[in-house]
Amino acid sequence: MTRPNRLQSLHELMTEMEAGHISSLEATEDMLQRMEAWQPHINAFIRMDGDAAIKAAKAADTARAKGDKRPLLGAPLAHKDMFMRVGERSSGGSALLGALVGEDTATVVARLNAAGAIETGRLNMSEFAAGPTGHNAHYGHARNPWNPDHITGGSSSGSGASVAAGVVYGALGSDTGGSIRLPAIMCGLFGLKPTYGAVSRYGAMPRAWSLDTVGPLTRSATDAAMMYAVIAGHDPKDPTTSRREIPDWQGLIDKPLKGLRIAHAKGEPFGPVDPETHEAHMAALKVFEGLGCEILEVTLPDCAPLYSAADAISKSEAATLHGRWMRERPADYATHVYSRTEAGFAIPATVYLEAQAARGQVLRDFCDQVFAQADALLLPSITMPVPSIAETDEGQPGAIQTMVAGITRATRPFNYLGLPGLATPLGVSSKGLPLSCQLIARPFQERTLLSLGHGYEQAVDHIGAAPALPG
Amino acid sequence: MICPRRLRQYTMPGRAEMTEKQDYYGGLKMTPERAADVAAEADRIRQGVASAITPKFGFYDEPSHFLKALEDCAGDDA
Repeated sequence: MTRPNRLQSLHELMTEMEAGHISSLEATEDMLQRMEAWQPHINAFIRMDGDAAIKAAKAADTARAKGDKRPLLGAPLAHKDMFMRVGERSSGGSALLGALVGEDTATVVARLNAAGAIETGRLNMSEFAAGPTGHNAHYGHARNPWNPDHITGGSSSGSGASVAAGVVYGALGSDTGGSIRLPAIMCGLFGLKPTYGAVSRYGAMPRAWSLDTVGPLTRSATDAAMMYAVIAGHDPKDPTTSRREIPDWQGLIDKPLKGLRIAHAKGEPFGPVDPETHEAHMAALKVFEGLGCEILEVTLPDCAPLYSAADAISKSEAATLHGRWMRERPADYATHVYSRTEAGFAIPATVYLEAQAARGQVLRDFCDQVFAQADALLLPSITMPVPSIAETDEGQPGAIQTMVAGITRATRPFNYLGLPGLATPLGVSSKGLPLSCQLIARPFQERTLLSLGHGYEQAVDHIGAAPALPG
Repeated sequence: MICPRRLRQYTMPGRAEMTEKQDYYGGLKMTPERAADVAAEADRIRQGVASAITPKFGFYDEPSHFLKALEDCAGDDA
């Protein structure tokens, strides 16, 4: 089913199922077997529900035999445990949220269900989606399949670990300051952070409603397009969603690359970049040049104030959401989550409102300066090699802000701007850990990003590489 | 091959069973040192916002103002 050293993609699975070469039941049983082998090493799941998955897989096979051609029929997926389902509990990676029973189903989950996808369980995540590393004091830390001593990135930690280990074919995550891109980056995956307003957040646990986005983590850009095409588009239940038409997945990866202008940043706008990562970026630019893209250099506006503005919004809104629980049940928060959020109580309302009021103009200025010259940016996503769990121990409150800022410096500004970003895997470092970049484009240009990702994955041979199961 | 039932219905151990980082629990007491840390963090954010972002005087209707900017900046074939 999977080639040695390379994991099957969602697109390949769907093609084989359509051709009758494999059933959903076989694919799902294979996933459950792999899950059994990997879970003790990577702790990707908070909860597994194999019986329900097997039942759903059998139903999918029956439906396919009767002519059902839904785009994700029988595809075994799993998602970050933060999406509401009617009558079910979702933990949000926390000790608090699991007591609440969903009164409705999140739109993204409902749309994937309607497309025929099945779920094998619920994925680990940073507590309340607050943390870029994947540490979780309640459910245990998620661990990187490429080296379990290293972090997965967060907050969609289980999404990154499970897809990279080949335990599921794709997973949803959420991104408020980098939480889709960081685990994708650190686990060697594609991760699509959509434009703010492109995908419904209805029924998704909020971290900061002005910045939150929901999107897929997958082993190929084509897979990301397949999931995005299902979940994106206007939702009356989320009034921030755009009314733009979303193409089918084939239409999301077919933009001609010849003549597209890809820019890298002049200087080091996010600080010094690890030399091996820099080399990988230069190699990726060569690949894009070989695909007919024009490569250029642009001067980015100073992104540090954008980071601060995102921080002001994120902390203020998170403190608003958690204020009551933080006052009444402080012991139910991990120290690092509590301490990261509490600065929100000390930020003046006028600072929060200044950050909000300037946002539209800052976006216009950024697009005028950058996207007048380029169709996409190729930027660092993290500037350091993938850190170890020990290096990012969040136990000391005083060190948390510095550590978080170091990891999210290059991702969080784009949440403030609301721009789409595609974490793109660039191979593996000399230490056996993933290398990556993020591609950034104008609002609602997911098609540009996914087409670039699709072109790249066809031009290189490392996409879908399988980490070795630890002995 | 069918996955063993014990793992099909696997649920992570509860908090009492976790051995990892038990010292994270118990909440945080506010001390003068921690109060200074929180104030410094808020001040750092305030200064960061003020350093480059000065909204023009005018009418702001968030979030619709920002949503319109996203639509306006989208480009030709988005």
